[in-house]
Amino acid sequence: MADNKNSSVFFLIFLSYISVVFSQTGTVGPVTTATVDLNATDATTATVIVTEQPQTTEAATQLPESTELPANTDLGPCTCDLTVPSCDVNCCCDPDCSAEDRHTFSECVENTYYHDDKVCLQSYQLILANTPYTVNKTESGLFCIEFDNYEDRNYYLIPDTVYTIERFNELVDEYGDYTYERVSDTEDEYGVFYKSGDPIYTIYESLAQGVLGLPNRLTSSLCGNNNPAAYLFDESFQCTRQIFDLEAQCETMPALSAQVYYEGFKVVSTPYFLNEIEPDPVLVNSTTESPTSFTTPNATNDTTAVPTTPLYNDSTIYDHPALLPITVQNLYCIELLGVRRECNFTSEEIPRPEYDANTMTCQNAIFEVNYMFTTNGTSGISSVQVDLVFGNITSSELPFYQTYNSAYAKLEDTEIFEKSGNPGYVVGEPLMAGTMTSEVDPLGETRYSIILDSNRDNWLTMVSPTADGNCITDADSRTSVTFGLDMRTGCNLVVAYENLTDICVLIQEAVNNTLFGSSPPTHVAMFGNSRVEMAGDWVPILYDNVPASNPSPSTGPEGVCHNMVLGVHLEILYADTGSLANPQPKIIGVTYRYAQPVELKYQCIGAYCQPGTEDIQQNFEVVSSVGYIDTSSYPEGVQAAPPTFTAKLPYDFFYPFGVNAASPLRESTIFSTVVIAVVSMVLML
Amino acid sequence: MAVFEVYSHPVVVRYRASICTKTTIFMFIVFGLTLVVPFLVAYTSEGFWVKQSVYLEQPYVSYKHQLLMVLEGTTATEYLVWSTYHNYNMLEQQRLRIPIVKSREEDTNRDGKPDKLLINIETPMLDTEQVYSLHLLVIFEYQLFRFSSLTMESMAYIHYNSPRPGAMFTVDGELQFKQNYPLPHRGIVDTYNYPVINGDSIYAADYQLTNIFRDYMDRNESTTFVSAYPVWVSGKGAGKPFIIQATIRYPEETILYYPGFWQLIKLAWIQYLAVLLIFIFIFGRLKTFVFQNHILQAAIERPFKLRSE
Repeated sequence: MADNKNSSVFFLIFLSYISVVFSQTGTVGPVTTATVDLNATDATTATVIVTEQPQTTEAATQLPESTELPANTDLGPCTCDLTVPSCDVNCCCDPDCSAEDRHTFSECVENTYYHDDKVCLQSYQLILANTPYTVNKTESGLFCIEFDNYEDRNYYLIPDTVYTIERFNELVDEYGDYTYERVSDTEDEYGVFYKSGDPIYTIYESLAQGVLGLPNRLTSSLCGNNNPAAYLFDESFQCTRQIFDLEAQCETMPALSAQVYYEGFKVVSTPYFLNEIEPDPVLVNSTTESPTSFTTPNATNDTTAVPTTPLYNDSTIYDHPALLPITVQNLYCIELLGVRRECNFTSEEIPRPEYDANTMTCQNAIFEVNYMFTTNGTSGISSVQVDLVFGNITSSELPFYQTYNSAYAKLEDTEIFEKSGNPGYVVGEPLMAGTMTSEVDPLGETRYSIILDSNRDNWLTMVSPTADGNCITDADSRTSVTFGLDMRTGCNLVVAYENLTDICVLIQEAVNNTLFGSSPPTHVAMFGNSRVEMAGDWVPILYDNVPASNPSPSTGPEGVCHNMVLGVHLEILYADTGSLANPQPKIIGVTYRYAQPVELKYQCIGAYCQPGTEDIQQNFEVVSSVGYIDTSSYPEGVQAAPPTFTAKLPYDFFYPFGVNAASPLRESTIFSTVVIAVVSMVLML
Repeated sequence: MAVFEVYSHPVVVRYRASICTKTTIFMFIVFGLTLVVPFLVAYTSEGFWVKQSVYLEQPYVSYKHQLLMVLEGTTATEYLVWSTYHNYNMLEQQRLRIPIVKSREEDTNRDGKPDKLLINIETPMLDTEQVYSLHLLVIFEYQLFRFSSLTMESMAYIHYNSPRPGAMFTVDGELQFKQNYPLPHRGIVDTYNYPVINGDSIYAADYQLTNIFRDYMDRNESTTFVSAYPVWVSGKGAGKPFIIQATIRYPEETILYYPGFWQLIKLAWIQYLAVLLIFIFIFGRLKTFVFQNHILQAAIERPFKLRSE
């Protein structure tokens, strides 16, 4: 330590509302060390507070001696003295600093810590003074304590040190809050049977156990392989695969290969099976990457990949009938222009993806995987099939996207017909629309019925937009009209100046084909479950504002077509029916409303229509739209008439004065009524 | 025999003075003070005239099925537009890309007022095109009924920029009412019931976003789309469209308005009366003191005769 003159002892005096620090008091005691001797200070101050917390005295007695905290003392009189034995800059209370050092300090930082909260002063009474003491005025009430003779109020209780885990946990329970502590994972508990939403368990040839994945996008559109398929929920996911080098990745990327999706593992038909063979699952550390590296299924302390855990050292378990192989059912190959055909290879010889250097394509990559599960109540899954769609990836088609579907059917289900509602339409489901036909039955009566397309996406359609904007009339690529969603789309009619006038009628035909499709339906089902035999449950599609056949689209001057209809609006009226609490929308009318015929006029402005630019094409928008109008009429509350007040007085209550009074007194009736009125008024006053 | 009070009534003592006396002037001054001082007290303590007030109302908002969309790539030439305005589409026909728009207005609580708009726009894209930024203008009709009948055409502006090419953009937010001045308490306010985007115009200037926004900001009443939760998803697959999914909610709004005359008077009268009663009491005591102690001269007319007379 530097020298005795600079050593300081701090006494905190609580006589009033001012805290005073005496420094450089050479008269105080025989203190020779620079640090504050807490035991010595303790001797000069008041008695030790008896804390409310239970003392763990027996533990403490066995422990080595420790520093005991003095009660009712400010323990940090010089918190800026952090270096020993050296003078801290701007720390005036540092005993290592000489008087010369202090002269060089621009301020004394320790002063800011001398907050005295016990000041009984209003702020306007304070004046600015260059003292080292600051006042922190926190008392906002009308009253404050001028002289606080209850010292304990101003000091923390002395906490007990914790020596036992029980006491520690007690304090954690009492004072603890949320922490970053890792939440313990819930261990896999296999139920007796699958419930909807459960993952589907799989067992690999290596007897590693996992779950069946159905890749889905998460943060970006890229496929995340760790998404499990959910039992009994039909799901459909589309996500992209990032391929940087098609040549290198074509044969190495597992997701492109068909085998990944059905080979090398089996589906557990019911989780009860897992309970049986693995009564006490053992958690294993993982160090390697893929489950295929796990080839020695004989030791539970071996390493394998998470989440797979080794099961059992009996390798025959893989042939157990409760483990279902995934059978490949249909194979489709996408050929040029996106046409799907049956592949020319069988399910026994499914090729792996292969890079063809001549065509620069990745052949036989997986585009789509469709799992189909047949389930049977609580006995779980009875069979699993997969449909695979193959295609060739060219480098221009990157990033390349894949589709994953899962579908569940019950064992006894034959052909499933998806309704659009039961009975009221569900928002987002396609409108049921078909064509009415009639036939004469043997009794000579005409029977009407509706022909409904088996593909629900072809019922009532509108044009699909494309990137090049052209009006495509391909029936397969049209968008289905769904209930409740107002829609608008269209396409570009591309015309050039030079031949416009020659093909007006052709253009109109093409537009009509675009707007209505090749064979527009005639009737729309009122409810989402209307039956095709009940033709009365179907409303006819009406047409409004139909352009008269004469004048038909006609040729005008150069570059103009008259009477062109370039848009149609499908208007659907519906009304809620049934209970107010559970409305069921019912379609009550459907109308195609043609847009007003307009002049299709090639716009001659700027560079257009000048010699040499006749073949520049212009785009005209053809609009197809759908609108829904809710015409529900609400029930009006009917109020009963207010009950009449039937309290009656006896008929002779006002005997001499009433209008029904007996005849002898009748002449005096008016007079007496007036008298009563006057008297009552006087009494009231 | 005990005597107890069976009845009592006050006695009126009348003090009379002529007009030009100190007494009369004093009485006039006291009368004036009794009326004026409470007014001053009520007025200077703030809040005497309630100049503006608020009420809550859920607006009736209808999506007008009008949109203007701009999708931008990295360079100046890489952008695609589409709108429901025919003239705009003709002006930008080289960059026109027709999407499929699906929208639905939901009345969740079935009170007859739509509560939110769900809108889904799928724009087909070529594989060479990438979207880095989008602007979307959605047009609404906005109506209030409770005090003044306000009808205006308003807008939700949805926009986003990202350094990464997008596959999908989702946003969920609220269409909030914005007013520069309080509304009147009754009458029809249809000052801004004209198109935000003038679809009849054939001039490019009328469709420039700068001009549309400048004119829109000049309005005293308008709406803003506020969303803290936009999500930009990148990684568009080849041949896939760019998808915008927006949910625009129509919340109940706190609306500032000028209270009507009678509401103003009623509130002021309550405050004035409360203070007036105190002053009537105080000045009453003062007058009694002055006259009982004969500080001012007045002829006393007693209802009874003194014995000495």
